[in-house]
Amino acid sequence: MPGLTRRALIAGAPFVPIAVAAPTAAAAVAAARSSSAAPTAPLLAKPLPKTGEPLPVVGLGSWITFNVGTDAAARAGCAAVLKAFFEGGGRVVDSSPMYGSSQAVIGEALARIAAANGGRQPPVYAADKVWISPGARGPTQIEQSRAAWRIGRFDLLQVHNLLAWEEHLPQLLAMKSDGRVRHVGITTSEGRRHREIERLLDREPGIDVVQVSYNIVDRDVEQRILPLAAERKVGVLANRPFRQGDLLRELQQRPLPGWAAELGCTSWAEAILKFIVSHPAVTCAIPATTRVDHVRQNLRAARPPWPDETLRRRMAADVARLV
Amino acid sequence: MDAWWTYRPSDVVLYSAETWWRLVANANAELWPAHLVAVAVGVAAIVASLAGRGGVRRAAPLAVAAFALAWLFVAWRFFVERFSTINWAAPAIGAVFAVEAVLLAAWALAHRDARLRVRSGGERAGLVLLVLGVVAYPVLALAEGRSWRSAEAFGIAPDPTALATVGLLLVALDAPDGRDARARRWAAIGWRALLWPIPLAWLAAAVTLRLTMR
Repeated sequence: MPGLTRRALIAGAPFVPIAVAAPTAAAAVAAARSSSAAPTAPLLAKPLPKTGEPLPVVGLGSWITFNVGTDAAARAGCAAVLKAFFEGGGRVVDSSPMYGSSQAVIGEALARIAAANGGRQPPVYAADKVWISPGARGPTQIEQSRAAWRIGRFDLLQVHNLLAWEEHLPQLLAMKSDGRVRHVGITTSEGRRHREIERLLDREPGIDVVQVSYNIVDRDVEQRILPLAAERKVGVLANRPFRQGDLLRELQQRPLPGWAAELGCTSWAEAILKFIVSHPAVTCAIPATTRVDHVRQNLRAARPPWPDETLRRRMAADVARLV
Repeated sequence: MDAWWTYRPSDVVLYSAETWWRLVANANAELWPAHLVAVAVGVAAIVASLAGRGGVRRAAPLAVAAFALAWLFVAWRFFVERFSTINWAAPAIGAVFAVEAVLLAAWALAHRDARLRVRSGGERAGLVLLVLGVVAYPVLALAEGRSWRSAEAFGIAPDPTALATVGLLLVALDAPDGRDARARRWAAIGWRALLWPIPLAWLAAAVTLRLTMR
């Protein structure tokens, strides 16, 4: 393929894999035993800028997909998705009290997985949110969320869509000081309140993570928020990588462009995720799914090769012509 | 919800279409055979509407009171007990359904001698809606390619209950009750203002949800 040198494929200077996270030995054995052909190549992990903790670049969201109520069969399906996610080397799982029963479904799934592994907890990076007003009700909601997840403490707590952030952010930072949460973040979605996000990134040094909508067509954050996050050493979680499935539904009708094969992509989902996570400022993308095969497909995007800036521009231009 | 004007309906639907229909199917399985009682009530209202010679005395308050019980049943058994497992707003919606139940019961008490009748164009339209809600709505499941297990039934699921109620109100609301014509007209207007907003609002929401769920 003309123009696609190995250097171009493995991305340029700003994008340097700091660590490569291999699945745990148990997960690798489980994957090998799995009837599906789960790849065992290590996942790319990027560090959270302030702490250096490496996180696999493909996580798992839970908006809608894990909100299945008390339906036992559906809950079992969600547990299978989480199991495949961990077996594939994933860690970051994101939820919110806004997402209905998702937190409780995640909690039950985590407990099931631990029980099947002799009580050993899966290596989840538990990312949740506080979403309530007034802010005084935040601590109660956070405790209810923690109980729903059935975990000791969250790794990351975020102010969901900046609701009552003036009250929640100081509370979360105090929790971080006390060791009751490891990292603190803020979120928005679909381009809302970007100015406020920028102001907070600029003036709040305690923020560790910002979660924004970012994908191959929704690239507004590339202008200011992503560079600012990099400058302020704030990690970035990318939500709505597929526009809640709409982007994939639109693209599925189209054949994959030539660069997809060079990137090792056999699906549009992998191609889009590789675009997202190859941005130097993005730490992790969090696609949501109800399917085990889609989880495995998504995790393949966390394995090399990745596009450099020149190829990223070409990918974005090609997709813009298609949608 | 901050910046609420920027949200689309799809942004606030918390569940997938598959989850919704599984909820309906599970509710049907758990609440059966309450469907038989509910449909019997609805069919009785239809039959009473078609009775000739001015209609069956007291059919209107009896039918409306029975529908009030249906609204209460849906409020509790569907919204509070089941829909709340996937939607944190469900208890509030259930409370609104309970309010409609109280309003229907109040109308029934205030119109004890009213009859159901189908004479005018509006009343005929009401009969059509009544039949659609009670008899035809469950068939939608098959028409939409879903299993009959997820069929929505009057008195069990909110959509056909609201639809059939709008129909019944068209048939029952203007029933003669002994007062002079002008007083009846104003009373009917007043009762319409009380009884119609909730079922009409739910039907509008239901259509939006149906079009928005993925």
